[in-house]
Amino acid sequence: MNRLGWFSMALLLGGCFNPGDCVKNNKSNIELAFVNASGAAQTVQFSSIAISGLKQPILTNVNANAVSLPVNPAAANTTFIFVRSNRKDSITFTYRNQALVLNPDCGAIIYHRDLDFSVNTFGANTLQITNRQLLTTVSRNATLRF
Amino acid sequence: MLRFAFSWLMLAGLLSVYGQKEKPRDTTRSYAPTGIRVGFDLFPYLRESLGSPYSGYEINTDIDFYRYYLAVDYGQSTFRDSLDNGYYANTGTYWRVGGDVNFLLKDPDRNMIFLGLRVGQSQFTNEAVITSPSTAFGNVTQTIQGNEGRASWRELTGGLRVKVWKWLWMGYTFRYKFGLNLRGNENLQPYDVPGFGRTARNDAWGANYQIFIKIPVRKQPVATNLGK
Repeated sequence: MNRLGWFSMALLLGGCFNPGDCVKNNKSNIELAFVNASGAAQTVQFSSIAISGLKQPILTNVNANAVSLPVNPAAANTTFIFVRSNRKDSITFTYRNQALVLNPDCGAIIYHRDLDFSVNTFGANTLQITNRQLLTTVSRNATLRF
Repeated sequence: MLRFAFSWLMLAGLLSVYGQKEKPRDTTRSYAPTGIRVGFDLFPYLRESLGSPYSGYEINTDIDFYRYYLAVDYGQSTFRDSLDNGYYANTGTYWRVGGDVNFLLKDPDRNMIFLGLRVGQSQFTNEAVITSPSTAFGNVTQTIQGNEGRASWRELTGGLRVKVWKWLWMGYTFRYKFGLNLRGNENLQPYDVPGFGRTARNDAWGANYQIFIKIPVRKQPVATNLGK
């Protein structure tokens, strides 16, 4: 084979090598913001926020206008119990899990998509889903109106 | 895509360099097949012996119609590998069908430098064991079974076929695979598709190094005025 042939073959084979990507933008937390009737941020106090089925609350003495709620990555729904001084409410969030293998070195990740809710005892029309995907690039998934 | 186009232009250039030397008159122009070539790919065995997470086999067949070849491939592939946070495996079968055009008209043995097209389809199952860290639940390990997945794609092929001895042939095939279409993978996106390769992109490269046996169905026409 002449020089042109070898050069052409080298270029042809050069396209075979393709390093994989290792970008992880998934997360397993729902970003829930508290708002007032006009949609502005509202600071709310909870004595605790717990996950149904777990012994210990995930948050205590909450005084904030937003919380980050960890979902069960192995389930299709997670129920959160919000305790205030005089009442207890619950929200059950539902979602679809989709696993993706990035590559053996980066491992696999689970995307939580199609976020919705099946139970909300805070009252009708108080909970609104604003973004249905749990991603690091998403700062708010839902708002709870007080 | 640009890299792919450039690579194929270079291959086409190679072929034209060979073709410019002489333009033979072909006296063997008959579309009746001379034989069926049946072979297998050596790469899967080589890859497996080197500790690759892949195992399987691939059978390649073709039949000639003058300078055109109908090609059919069938294979089985299993991929098993540990991940940074778990384990992934898939297994399935695939087939490809298409045609090749031989650019070596002057060769009395019908050795080939060819370009071709294929369509491919794969059926497979996959499974992953994944450990996910969670602030509330600790490290959660779950086994995710993918649905029965299907994939289809297209290929541009090129390569060589050389007669080694009587009915024994060897050759290699380069494949540019593109247009990957995945179906039925809602729970677990496949990392690898049997016959196609990794799914991080919609295109992939592949290669085969093959040994064939040619089963003759009629006597091969003899080229009498080649090289004039």
